[in-house]
Amino acid sequence: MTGMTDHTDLILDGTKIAWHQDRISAWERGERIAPITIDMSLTRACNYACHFCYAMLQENERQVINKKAIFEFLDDCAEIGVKGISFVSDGESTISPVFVDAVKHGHSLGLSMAVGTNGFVLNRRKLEEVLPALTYLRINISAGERERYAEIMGVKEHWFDRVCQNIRDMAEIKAQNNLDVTIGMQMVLMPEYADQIMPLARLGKELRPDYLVIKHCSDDEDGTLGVDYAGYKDLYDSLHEAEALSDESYSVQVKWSKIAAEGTRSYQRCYGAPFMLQMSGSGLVAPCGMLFNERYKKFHIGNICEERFRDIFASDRYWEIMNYLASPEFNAQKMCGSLCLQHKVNEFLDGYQKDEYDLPTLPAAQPMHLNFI
Amino acid sequence: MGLSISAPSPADDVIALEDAFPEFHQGIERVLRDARGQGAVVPENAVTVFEAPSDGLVIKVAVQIEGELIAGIEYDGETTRAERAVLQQLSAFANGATVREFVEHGLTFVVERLRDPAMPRPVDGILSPRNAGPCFQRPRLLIKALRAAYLSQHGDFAGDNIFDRPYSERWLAMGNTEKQNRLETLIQAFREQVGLDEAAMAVFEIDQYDRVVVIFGPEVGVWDKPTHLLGLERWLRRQTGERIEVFVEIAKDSNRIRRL
Repeated sequence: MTGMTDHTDLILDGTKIAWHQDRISAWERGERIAPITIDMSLTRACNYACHFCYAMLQENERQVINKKAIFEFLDDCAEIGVKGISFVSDGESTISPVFVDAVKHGHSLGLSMAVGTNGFVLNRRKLEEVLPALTYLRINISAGERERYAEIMGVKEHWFDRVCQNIRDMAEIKAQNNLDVTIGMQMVLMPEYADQIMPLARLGKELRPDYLVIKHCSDDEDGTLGVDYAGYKDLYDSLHEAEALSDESYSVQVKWSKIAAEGTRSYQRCYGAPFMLQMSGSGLVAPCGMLFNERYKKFHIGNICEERFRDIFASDRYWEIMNYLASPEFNAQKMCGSLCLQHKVNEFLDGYQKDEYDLPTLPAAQPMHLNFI
Repeated sequence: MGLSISAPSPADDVIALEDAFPEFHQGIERVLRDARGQGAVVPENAVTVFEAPSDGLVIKVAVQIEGELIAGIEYDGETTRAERAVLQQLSAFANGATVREFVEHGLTFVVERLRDPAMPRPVDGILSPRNAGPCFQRPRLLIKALRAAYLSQHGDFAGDNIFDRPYSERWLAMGNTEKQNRLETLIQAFREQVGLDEAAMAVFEIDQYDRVVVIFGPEVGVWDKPTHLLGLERWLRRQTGERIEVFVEIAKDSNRIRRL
């Protein structure tokens, strides 16, 4: 499974790893490759209490990422060859005091920068500062009605209005300034939110972001969040109906491949982490978000609040952990949660490693957001 | 399950392991030493035989169609000593495995089994059959050919490969108390090796899946913990031969307004 089917300009249900064949070749030769994408957060804190939030399962020893730490981190990323940084991960980065400066500094270094946020504390001034420096800004919004928004996202109803206004502002600022940034909305779907699929798709059509993506909810290996993966099947009609609301400048996309996977993995080794690293809002460097919790301390590599990232990346410990995940010591089907961030990258690399296929010949046109694989 | 390799290289004992990185020499010698005297294994009944040639080597795999389990393996062709060890170790892996498991994970397993864990890996980055040295390359192509031959006759593999063998039958047959005693003894030996007393690293729980949960005392540095945990896990796996996992206690979410 190459993950290269159904490609459009904006790939939301697939992987762009195949466009980075130089790095795949270096990995294949056993060289130490820098991650193409790092997903991280600037804090573990959050002003929301979303019902589906995986970050509840990711607690680890907290430290504060201050301006010095994040600037040095971004400098190191640019130096070693990281291409894209997304502030998503396990906290609400926009409530960090270093948020705006971090986005602008990363951009000034030539890194592609992106943000996933609940969008509440953003205001027009901040948006005007950060949007020109961003590749994409994605709002997490899992309901299209005030009351259900409050229930699902654990906040007061009127917060919904403010977030909607912020999305309108984003679309307006983008249009006024002819910015390249992509504005997205994201619904993390649990089967019990089915009633919100169509209201949210219609809300998006009114607010005019570039897209609405509807995705599965991840769970840990013990099923702590209680995601009923079999229940997604009953929502297929609604999801198709939502996609039909797409028009020339508003795309509704469902992450079908993950929703249809019903929480299972086709692979046992995790090859994706060296290409797509995740870091916690505590500054913790661990291979992926599913291993942030203290429980998985054996996989914890370092912390950018204590040590430069370039040194962490060059450490034997970093490569020891990455090798563990790529070896028979590890079985992602048994020792990991479901449908992680690296899932599509893992699928691609696993098939390649097993000689199921060669590296594909690429289409002439590159997809958008290439540095976010 | 045994192994048959016909027409091995002449003067086996005097040829150096030129096509193998030094990190594999010890493992290769061990396998060659242990595997002497094994005979042909492909049974003649109740199985289907798949044959695949590649670059002077031929692999013949007998498969019980029900369950797709491998019933026997033979190789034909001239090999170096290192290649022979790789093929022998592949046969060991095939024991009880499905064809799919064999072609998808066999060589990765062999790389780890032949590698000397006391030496650094031969590459700086991620070690795989593709970069583990020349002695893995012909076996890799052979496995690729086998995969193609099997799929052309049998059609695509159905569903996901969920083959797994974390615990042996011997381990599963042991009672809980016996397993716990064995693990406790090994954990104590590990503590002695690394100079920790029980207060510094205590067993909190050994759960129903034989997962070991430890707690650390305050005298253990934050960044010493991952090293001890991985060290303990590897020690337990090496001593028991089982895929024991080691954890520390789960940390609860400390965001006040979240819900769990």
